[in-house]
Amino acid sequence: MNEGMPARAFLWGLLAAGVLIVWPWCLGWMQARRPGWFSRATVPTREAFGALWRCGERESPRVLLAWTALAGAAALLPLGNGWQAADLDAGLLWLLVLAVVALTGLSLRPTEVARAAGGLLTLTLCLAPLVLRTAGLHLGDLGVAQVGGVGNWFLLRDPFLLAGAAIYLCAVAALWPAPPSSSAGDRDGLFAASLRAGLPLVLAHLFTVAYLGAWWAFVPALDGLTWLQTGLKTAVVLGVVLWLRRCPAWSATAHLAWRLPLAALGACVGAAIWLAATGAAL
Amino acid sequence: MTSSSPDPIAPGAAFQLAALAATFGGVLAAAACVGAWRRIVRRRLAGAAATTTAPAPTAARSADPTAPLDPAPRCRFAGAVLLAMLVLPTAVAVRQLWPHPDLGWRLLAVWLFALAPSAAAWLVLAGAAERRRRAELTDRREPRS
Repeated sequence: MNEGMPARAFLWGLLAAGVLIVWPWCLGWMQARRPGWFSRATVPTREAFGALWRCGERESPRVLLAWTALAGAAALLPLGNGWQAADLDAGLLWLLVLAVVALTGLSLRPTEVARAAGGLLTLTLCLAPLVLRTAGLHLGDLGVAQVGGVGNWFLLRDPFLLAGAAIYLCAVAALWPAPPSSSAGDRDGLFAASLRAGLPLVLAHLFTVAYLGAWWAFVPALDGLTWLQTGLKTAVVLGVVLWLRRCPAWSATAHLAWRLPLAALGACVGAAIWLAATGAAL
Repeated sequence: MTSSSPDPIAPGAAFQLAALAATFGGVLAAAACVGAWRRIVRRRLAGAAATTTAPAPTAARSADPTAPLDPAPRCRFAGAVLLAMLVLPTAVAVRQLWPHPDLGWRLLAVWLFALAPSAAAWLVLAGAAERRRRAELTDRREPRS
């Protein structure tokens, strides 16, 4: 097992933080070219991001803590076999904990607390069957267990995992943080904008690692350039999430409050029964 | 990963925690760099606005070269630098030496070696910057008087 050297982990942390900082600008660039894609997933325009960069609001400690947690989670997600800041035995658990901290940085009105809690419950229930499959919380094992082409990706292992993947994507679409309302006096700072835009990116990367074969290609003959495979698949997942987000129904609170968690619970139990019935671990 | 004697700590746990600490050290260092850069940009913008508008009484008071400097921004920046300087060597030392009995003494040595040059460089650079700032303020005030 590669435990990771601290100096390398430091550089990974720097890199992940840098990517998260410029990510809102990238989304703004894409929004300027394809405004239809972002019809309901509002991101700051490039001009607004430039203004935030120069003279945005002062960040609260809660936002800074949440952004630090999100950047740490981004650094922990693997781009390839061992291409991550720290190869933790309980990496998935750390990621979920950091996601909780990251979500606390967003506005904490009562309805948003219910949405965040429901979203995290849904994501956890969607990832739980994979823990059963790999018998561990190690992120690298999730990738290694999917080697061998698209047929071995967890997405297509059994119908309940496919349902779990669909529910996961719906939860990310519903969790995409809404922009602050200017009429209520809320204004974003640079790190708050980075937090809002970076949360779907990190969750899409986690989906790639968990369900879409991590750094492996569609066919084993194309394996290689792991960072490129992971990046391309993450971009596709983000596109799907944006497409889902265009449906106005996702803004309803009831989806994340009980519908999606209940569906995820069903998929989780079904996957466990399927696993026990077929004995198809790993 | 295998050991002959039972270990109360999971094998590799110390290394993993050190790597995790270094990861957050990197994230915090990046945040400190962004904060420092934004502070520079804000000061430039404020300076540009001050040259185009008439100086307010508070601005005139703060332009006094004998007035003490506001220590808060420098303290925050120094804190971020110290954090980055301490987290990385500590993580490296723990990674290499755990569970060596002399770990504490060697950590102290690492900290001193990391802190002494950076503290000296900090003092020299801060002194030079303050002298330059006072000289600029003095030059700016002389034509008015």
